[in-house]
Amino acid sequence: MISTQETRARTLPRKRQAERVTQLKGAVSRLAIQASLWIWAILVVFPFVWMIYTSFKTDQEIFFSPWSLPQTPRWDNFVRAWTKAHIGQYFFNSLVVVVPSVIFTLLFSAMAAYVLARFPFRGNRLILYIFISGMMFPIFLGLVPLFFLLQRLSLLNTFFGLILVYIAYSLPFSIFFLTGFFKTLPSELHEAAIVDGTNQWQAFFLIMLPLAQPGLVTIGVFNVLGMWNQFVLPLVLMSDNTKYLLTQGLAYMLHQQYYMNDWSGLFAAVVIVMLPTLLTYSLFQGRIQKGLTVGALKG
Amino acid sequence: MYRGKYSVIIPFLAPPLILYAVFVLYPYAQAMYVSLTHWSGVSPTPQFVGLRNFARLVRDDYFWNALSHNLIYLAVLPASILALGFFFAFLLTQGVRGAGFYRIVYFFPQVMSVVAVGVLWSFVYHPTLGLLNGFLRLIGIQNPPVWLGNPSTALLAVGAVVIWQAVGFYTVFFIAGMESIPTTYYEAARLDGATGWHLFRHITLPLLWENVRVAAVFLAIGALDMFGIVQTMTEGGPSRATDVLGTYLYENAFKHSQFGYATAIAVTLFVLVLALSLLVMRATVRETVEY
Amino acid sequence: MASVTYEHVTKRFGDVVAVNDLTIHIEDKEFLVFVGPSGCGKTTSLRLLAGLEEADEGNIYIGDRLVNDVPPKDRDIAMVFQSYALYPHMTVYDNMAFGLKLRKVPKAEIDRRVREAAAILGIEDLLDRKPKQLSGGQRQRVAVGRAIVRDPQVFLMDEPLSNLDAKLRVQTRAELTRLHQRLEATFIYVTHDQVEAMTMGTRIAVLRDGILQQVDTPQRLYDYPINTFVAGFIGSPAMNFFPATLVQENGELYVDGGTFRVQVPPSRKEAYLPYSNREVIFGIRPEDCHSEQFVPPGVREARVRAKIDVVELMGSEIYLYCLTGNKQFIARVDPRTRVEPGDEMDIVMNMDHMHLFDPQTEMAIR
Repeated sequence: MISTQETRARTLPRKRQAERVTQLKGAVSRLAIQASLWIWAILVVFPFVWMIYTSFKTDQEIFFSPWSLPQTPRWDNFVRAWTKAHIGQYFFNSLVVVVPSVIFTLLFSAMAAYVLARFPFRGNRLILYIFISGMMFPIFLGLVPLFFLLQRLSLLNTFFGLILVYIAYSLPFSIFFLTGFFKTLPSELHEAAIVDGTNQWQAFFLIMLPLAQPGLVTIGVFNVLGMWNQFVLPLVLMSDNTKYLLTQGLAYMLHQQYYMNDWSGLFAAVVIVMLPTLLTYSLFQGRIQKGLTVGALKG
Repeated sequence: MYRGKYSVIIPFLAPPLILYAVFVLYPYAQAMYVSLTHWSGVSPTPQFVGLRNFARLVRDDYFWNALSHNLIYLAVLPASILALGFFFAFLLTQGVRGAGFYRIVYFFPQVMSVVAVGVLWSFVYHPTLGLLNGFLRLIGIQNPPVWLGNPSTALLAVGAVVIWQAVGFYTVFFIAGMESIPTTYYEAARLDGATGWHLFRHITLPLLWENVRVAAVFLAIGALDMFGIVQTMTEGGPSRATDVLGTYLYENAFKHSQFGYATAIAVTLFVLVLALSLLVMRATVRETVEY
Repeated sequence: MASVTYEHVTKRFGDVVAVNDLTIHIEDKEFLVFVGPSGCGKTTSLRLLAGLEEADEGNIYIGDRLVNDVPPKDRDIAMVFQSYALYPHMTVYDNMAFGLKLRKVPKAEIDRRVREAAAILGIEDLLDRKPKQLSGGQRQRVAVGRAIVRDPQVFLMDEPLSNLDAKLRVQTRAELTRLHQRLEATFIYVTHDQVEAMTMGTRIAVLRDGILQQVDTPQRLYDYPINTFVAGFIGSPAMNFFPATLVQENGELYVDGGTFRVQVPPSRKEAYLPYSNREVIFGIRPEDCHSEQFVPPGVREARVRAKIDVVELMGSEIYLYCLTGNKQFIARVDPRTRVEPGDEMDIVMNMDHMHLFDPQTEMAIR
């Protein structure tokens, strides 16, 4: 009878060899994985990085050595972009439109979502579907009639009109998201508030709305990003170029560029445009990632 | 507990509903009508012409040209984006070091406005001062193509940008899905002898199928859109080499004031989107796996 | 006057009748417990009183006031919810002060009341904390504190102990009883746990499928259950039920369970006579089944031969799972009893505590 020690001795070298092979395989695949990840990371980041350091170069530097770093950082590119290329103006316009739009979108969608999520009444489902169905229609469909509608209401080319439109088109997704969110809030808190003595308005503003804060922040960030980056609507509805928003202003700059030649200014302009969104994203990226996927997974 | 509910229901629903009805529902409804008219915005009322716009559409080469580009994008983009997204999601859920970093970075492009992305890549693609051609010259290619100016490369160039922007989002999307699969399934499968590919095919993919479906529909709809990126980078050129339905529609409406016709294109686009969504949903139907 | 009256109250949810023609009068300062299995309508009855649900039929009175159309905040009630429902974004102090603030009570008065309630409950140190920083037991006290601060006529409690661990539950039970005595207010309490009901209530209302079965003091519910449901619900382990026939022989009544026959005590003969030669349900509590080895004095003995299936040593007593024929029953016997599973022995039943029920109506025969 072979002792256990002997059997162990006999199988050991073979096992070790197999282990080494898997270890090698493991190491190679790990390397391959890291390499692929790195390649894509570079692909993603480098254009931004290039954009940023190029924005500090002079026109000559840009033309003759696209790869090299700037000799001295030319901050005046940014100044020119802000003033002469009107990026400053466009930035301000975007702020004027986006800030109130986000605030009122949050308010109205929270109010609607609250009622739709928590109160039984005839037509509740229907109204919810009417809002949600808005998400399925491409914005294109209504573009022309919308244009004429605003014209008839004398709201064309006005910030106020644009704000109203921004809010209206953001309602479907925001209401969809917040309705799901309000449904998860415990009824008992609402009931406790009623027993404590609130009327329905107080119950909403004092208790349920504060409770919804995480959902509101998430959808708020989405709306900020979405509205800041909105292109088609201002393009169609704002014709006065002092009223351009940042996105369409940038596109305008690019298309003008072929006749102007202030490349460095243009690069600087793009960097200015990118900065707020990059900043917002860095601050809120956890939330954004979580919120996006939750909403999409549920759908 | 719902005492006095109408004192909230009505005031809370009224402002959003009114805004929505006026600025969203009414234009959508009107679009259906406008597509059946001829209207150049000069006269206050459009002139009803029945289905003439649609007939014109069918005979319009530029329309088919634009549609063909959308279809090419439809064939190429969703598949590539899904594949890459899945690939990276899978890699990043294997316990790789720095996975969190990659997730954050990959998402950057998604956060940018489509215009910013378009402008950025316009520069990258620039024939003389662009990053890409600079790189190509560095590695010895003497006359790199004029990416956006050449009809044979423009379509590809724009498509690549869309992929670049979208992959990060779907990577994150699939990671979230993968992370919600309980590890016990993988452990049980491993005990049964399954290896990497098996695990992917028999566990990850089926359990993630609903996510894939949703992603597929979004991407398909996106492929029919493409307005922002094309309008920014090429405005449909050169010589309509990158024209898509969105840009063609825009051009008809706001450059040629052919509002009726443009709306007809929009309606067609809408119908295509609907049909496509239904098709994708039907084609990807599998028994829902609950876990 | 803080009495509570339900008068033919009915509440439906779609096709389900959650509360069916409930009529009950609760005196001022009583501690009334609504008890029953899940779905019996106890929570709905409480919510009807709170004003969180509206009755489909019937009237509800608090004191002499008809409150059907009165909103919860005007009913002078306070409620402790099962999940405590503490406002997470407010401190303990603000949670307790909230209701008073809404009523525009002056700040000094609010402060006085909050601190007083906090003192009673021993939570003065927690006033600046937020609910998520508190343990389950602490949150429960804050929930009770929030109710006390309102100084209502009626306290409503919806299974307030069910989220506490066993030890804390026992402790808090006593505290709530003490609180009731101290505050001298009417308590309406809902639970599914009959032990809680028996130990805390001045009276217990047993509900089943929306219908009030019996409302009485704990002792009377125990001694005189009105039907098999109440008999089986109160007391643990539950009462043993045997399908049997009442047999008359030589002027005496016997309960014939097929495999055993026990004699009816003379005090009951007259009441049971109408059922002679009919089928009945014979009920006897496990605590009234003794082992032949240790029969307490004063028991009106009746012997049933049984085979012992399972022996559970409880420390202070032994639970015997017995079989007579193929009918299983439980006996709670003296801990000194020496017995093994498989043994056969006589179980001595105390017939003074026997119960008889009509098999069709399930009502007790008295």
